[in-house]
Amino acid sequence: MTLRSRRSAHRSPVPACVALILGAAACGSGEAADIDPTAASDPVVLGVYVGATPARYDAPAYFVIDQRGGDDEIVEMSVERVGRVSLMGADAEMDVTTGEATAGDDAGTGFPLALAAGARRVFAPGGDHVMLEGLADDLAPGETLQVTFEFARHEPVVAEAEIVQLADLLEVDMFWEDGDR
Amino acid sequence: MTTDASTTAPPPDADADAVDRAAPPRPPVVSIAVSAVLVLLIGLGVAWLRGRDDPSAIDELGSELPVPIDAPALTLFDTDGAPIALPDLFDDHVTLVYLGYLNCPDACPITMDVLSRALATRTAETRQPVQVVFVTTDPARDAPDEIRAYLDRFDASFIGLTAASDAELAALQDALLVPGAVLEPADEDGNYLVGHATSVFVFDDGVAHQRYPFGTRQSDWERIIQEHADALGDAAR
Repeated sequence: MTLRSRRSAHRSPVPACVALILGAAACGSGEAADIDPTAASDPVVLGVYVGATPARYDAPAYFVIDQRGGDDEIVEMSVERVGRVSLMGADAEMDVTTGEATAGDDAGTGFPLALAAGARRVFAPGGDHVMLEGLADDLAPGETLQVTFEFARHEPVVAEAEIVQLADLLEVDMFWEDGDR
Repeated sequence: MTTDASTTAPPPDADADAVDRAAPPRPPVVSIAVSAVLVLLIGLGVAWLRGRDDPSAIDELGSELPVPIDAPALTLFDTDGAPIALPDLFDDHVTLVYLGYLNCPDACPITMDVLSRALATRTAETRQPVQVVFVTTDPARDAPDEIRAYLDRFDASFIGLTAASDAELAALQDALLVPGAVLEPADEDGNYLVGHATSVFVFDDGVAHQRYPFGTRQSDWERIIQEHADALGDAAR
């Protein structure tokens, strides 16, 4: 069999950044140089998705957030029906996925998450992701979950997460580069 | 879309002759440009259609391995504790091999789900020569019965294997040319994270030529599996 490589044929998270440094500077796309980092924080959650998972396992969650104002950081996330929320990283460039282990406490790990002025943060399958532990019950496709993002410089933002079949997470447009469609 | 001025609808109060006479002559450069765009669009359309139907396009979904990999000469243990020699297991099958761990919330369950759904589209007969093998990279936590329950969540036919030792697991990863799984230090609760490769290796009758990266979609897996199954059938004839 003749085999060739076509990397664009699979789904590469946007951005394809090495994310073992979740607490460091944002590695999102669309960073605008003319945004005043001291301007008022204006985070916009573009979407949140959760993978359907039986209660006995940890569930994945993903989101895309635009920081349209100045610098800020997510200091905590909470998800209904979930005991603990942690931010995880992945080193997709090396074909290795691993986690970010920062100061572990009951609030979860990986926080705070920096949001640079004018930047986008993408938590996508195979890249940075959210781990939901301690599910109260099974998370079934078609259900929704209320997700609360708490910021250092902005009022909390509440978003509705859609629970989808795990395989369908690869079909969510916002997670992937335009060229991959 | 038409670009011929003579077919442009006339104003309600004008006759056709007036419209034809009123239409300014199209500069040659514009006509050439329009023609070029049309040719380009037609060409792209044909290329897209051919690419969609061309089985050889499937090969491009994966990454060619630097050298073909024979089934590692290792014996692992299935979820019933039975020893399984990989060369014997892989023989006469298309075998999709994935290394992961049960506490993984991201790449592992997504990959298992995508593969199970792709395989579910096949008939019992065409499903038979294809098998999925999950090898735990965290044998200390992933007990065989837990692996069985985890895989049953996706497909009861999926095969769960555990290496007898860290050295055996390392030997398997070396054979597959992937970085060894990395176990992070445990926190105060004893929890720890595991780094691991996320590609799926496809062995055709015991030999792997390529691996497919995480993110390969269900529709692509359906085509990939079909092509590998076809190759297996061709080789058997």
